Formats: sequence, structure tokens, C-alpha cells
Amino acid sequence: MAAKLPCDIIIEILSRLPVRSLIRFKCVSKSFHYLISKDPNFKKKHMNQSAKSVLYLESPGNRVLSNSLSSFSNDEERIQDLKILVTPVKGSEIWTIYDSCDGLFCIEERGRGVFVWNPSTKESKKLPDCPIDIKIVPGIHSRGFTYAIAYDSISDDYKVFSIFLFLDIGKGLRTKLKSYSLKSDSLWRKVENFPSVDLWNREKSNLLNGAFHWIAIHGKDNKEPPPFLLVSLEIGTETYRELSLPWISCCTQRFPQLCVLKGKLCLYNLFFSKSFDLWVIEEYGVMESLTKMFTIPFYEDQPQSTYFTPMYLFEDGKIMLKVITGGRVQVVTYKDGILASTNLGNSSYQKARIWTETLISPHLNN
Amino acid sequence: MSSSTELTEKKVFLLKSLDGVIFEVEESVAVQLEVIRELIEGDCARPFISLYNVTSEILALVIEYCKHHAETCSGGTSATIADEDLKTFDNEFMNVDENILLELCSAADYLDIKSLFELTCRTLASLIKDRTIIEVRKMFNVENDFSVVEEKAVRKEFAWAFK
Repeated sequence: MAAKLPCDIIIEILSRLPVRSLIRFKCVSKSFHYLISKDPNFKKKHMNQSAKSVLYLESPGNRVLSNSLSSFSNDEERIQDLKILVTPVKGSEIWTIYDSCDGLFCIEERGRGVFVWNPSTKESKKLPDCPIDIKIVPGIHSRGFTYAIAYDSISDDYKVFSIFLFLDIGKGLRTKLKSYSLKSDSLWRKVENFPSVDLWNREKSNLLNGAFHWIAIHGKDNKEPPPFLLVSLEIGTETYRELSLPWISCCTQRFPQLCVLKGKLCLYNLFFSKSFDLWVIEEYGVMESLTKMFTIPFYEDQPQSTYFTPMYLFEDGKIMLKVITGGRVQVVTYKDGILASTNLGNSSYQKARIWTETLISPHLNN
Repeated sequence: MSSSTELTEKKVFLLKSLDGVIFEVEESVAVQLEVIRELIEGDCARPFISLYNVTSEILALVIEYCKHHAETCSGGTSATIADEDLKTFDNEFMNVDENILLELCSAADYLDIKSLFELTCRTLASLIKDRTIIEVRKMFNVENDFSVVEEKAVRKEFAWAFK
């Protein structure tokens, strides 16, 4: 028998295990059980070591599948390790899946039920319904809810935000935000001072430096071309900020988009007629630091209405992108001028999102 | 390597293991042991350093690891080739008995060699990820303090993870 290892070394080894193994190892002893189920420091340590994965929402059928991000760093075209995840509601009842934070996803059930779900531990929590405070009368057109989840370092809590957009004929677009705390299991609380802006691509929360980021245009303005803004909402203080965007090529093509790659905000153009350009804001909040990262030129057999969304930037400079054509998602990689497709099997997908396996429980108040 | 560097006198250190075996190592190797690097930087390094927690068998392996890493990093090869070379070496190096791995991990922690600690922790994690509860208890020398009923309840609650 091996000599007894010091506790801190055992913890280091355990923090490098997949969640499934750790869940089993809760049976090893009472101290293992406590460490894996309850210890917040261990959960954080594990999260920082944990490898990233890609989650897919199948279409049709709405099954949820996942595979490890590392399978895209190989040169083999065929991706092998896709596994089906157990969801809190039946696949067919899933309406959509939003971006995750620390392994926790917001998923929306058909008929507007919202869950916070950890696919690795299979734990989930149904959130109270988020009320609409306005009357849907003639002249008011709802554009629906989206949800976003984030960690609030001030209160060591996870917050879910509901974003409701509606068009008030005569007054323009209006936005209403509410927040919900996972720890206190509160009712939805109104986010004060959030202006009436049209948030684009609300499904994507672009979490960075403790804030969500979106591209927006002022709801009231009807100028052509519209004045684009980069807006942010700080998670802890719920403070709204905005920055105007410079007139780079992706903004003049009408549809600038935002993503986060390697801890930096990036801008890109949604549709591309000539090329797909990716720009990086090197210094957070400083528009003057905007630099072009790369350009993917138009390729000949590219179907109409194809658009690209960057997903992940690997260490070696290879970039992983979603290619969406007619609502169908494909994943490609791009490096040194070569666009490589990946084969994700026979299914077709409507969503693909990067996530991390963690032990974080949606039941924070337990 | 140029002739001028060959002529410079190389500083060597003598490392003494728990069981009294003395190893002669060059400075480039010794500094990879963070504990020794700190001594050198603080100008407290004696040429003779006793390492009370490491046996000669393990210290020999640790020095082999540090030597290879020092040589690969200082060689004229490009970063990508050096990277590949280290990966191959690390894989081979980890191909040892499990008890040796545990001791290497412990030694890397004590001597504060971050890359070796990371390597051994990752290797051990991938070794144990599919092991049974009994095997894990044995490996970490952990006593089962659950009652039969308690253990059964935990197993039942997380039955999916055992499939």
C-alpha cells in the first residue's frame, strides 16, 4: 500500500477529475463527500482546472449533445466523442438554451418555464415565472424574453437576468430587464435605469469582466445608418454603460456583432459579401485599441445567407467558428487561410455553445 | 553551443537524498527546483543541500526530468519541436509504477517543481478516473467511515454515475 499522501495533494489530484468520477467518489468517505458536494473552494479549484466542451441543441428533436473542445484540436475531420445529456425537461419541450456561466445553463421550456441546469451533475432548478409588467394592448408588440446567467462576485451568487423587448408604436423599442438571485431564491427584481435600446443578438450574453455586453441601437432613433453602441450591464451593481462604436468595416455593413475570445471583446460582421472580418478590442473599454485580427475571404460555393460566429480561439491560433445556414449550425475551424469543416455525425443542430464541466449547484441556498 | 560558454566554469550543486545518496547537478537543473532557486536568489545556497523528504530512487528521476527539460529549453531547436519533444519525453516519463508516480507527485510538491507537479497530478487523475470506490480508498489510504446504510444511500442517490 502506498504511503498516505498529504490532504492538499489528494485535493489537487481530485480537482483534475471529470465531474462524473467525482460524483462516484462521494462514496469514498464522509470527507470526500463533503469536499465534492459542499466545499465551495474545491468547486472553484475544480472549475479552474476543468476542460471546456461544446454543447449542441439538435434539430429536430431538441436532444442536447456535447463533446470535448479538445476533439477539435486534432486534425481528424470526424468528431467522435458526442454524448447525449440528460435534460430536466423532455428534449421536445426545450425551447432554447442560452449561454452558460461556470457550467450553469439557462434553458427555456416551451410555454415559458425557465430552468437553471448543470448538465454535468444533472441538477436543475425551475425558476419562478417572470411577470410582464406591461399590458399587451393594440400598439404594443412583444418581441419576447431572453435570459442570461452570470456570477456575481460581490455577493458570491449567480444571477439570472430576463430581458424583455417590445415595440411601443409611437414610442419605439423598449427594453425591460429583471434579475433573479439563485442564492436568495428571490422573486424577479426590476433592473433600474436600463434605457430603451434595441439589443441585438440578445441570446448571446458576451460575459467579460463581470458584465454582459451587447451591440445596441437607440430605440428612438431612426437614422440611417443607425448609430451603433456597445452597451454593458455590470452583474453586481446592475450598472448600465455605453460606448459608441468606430466606423470600421464591420459596422458599416449594418450588422456588427460581438463575441468574447480569450478574455477580449471582438467585433465581426454578421453577413459577408466579400469577406468575414474579425476585430479585437485589445484594451477593455478603449475603442482606439481596436485591431483587425484576421479576414476570411468569400468562398465560391458559399450559399446565400450564411453567417459566421466565432466560438473559441485555441492556443495555436486556430479559431473555431459556427457557420449558420438556414438555421442549421455547422462547426468549422480556421487557421493559416484554411477553412476546415468538421463532421458531427448525421444529426443537424440549431445551437452550439461552449461550456465548462463544473460541480456548481443550481441550489445555492442548500 | 559556442566555445565561450563551454569555457565558463559551470556552477554545480550537491543534493543529498533522504537515504544519504549525493547527486551532482548543474545550476540550470538545480534552479528548476523552486526551493533551491529561492536559496540561490537569496544567496543562501550552500553547495551541499540536504533534501529530507526525497529518496535517492525518486531524486534520480526528478533530476532526470529537470535535466531533460533544461536541455530541451536551452537547445537551439524551435519552440514547436521542443514542445513536441517534451510531450514525448513526459509521456514516457510517466510510464512508471503507480507508487513511484505518487512519490514523484509528493516530491514535486515538496521541491516545488510546478510542471512536474502538474504532470503527475494529471497522470494520476487520468489513472483513477474509472476506478472503483474500493480502489480509490486503497490508493489514497482513506478509511471508509460510512455505515453500510449511509453508503448504500449515497450510491443510490448517484446511481447514474456508476453506470
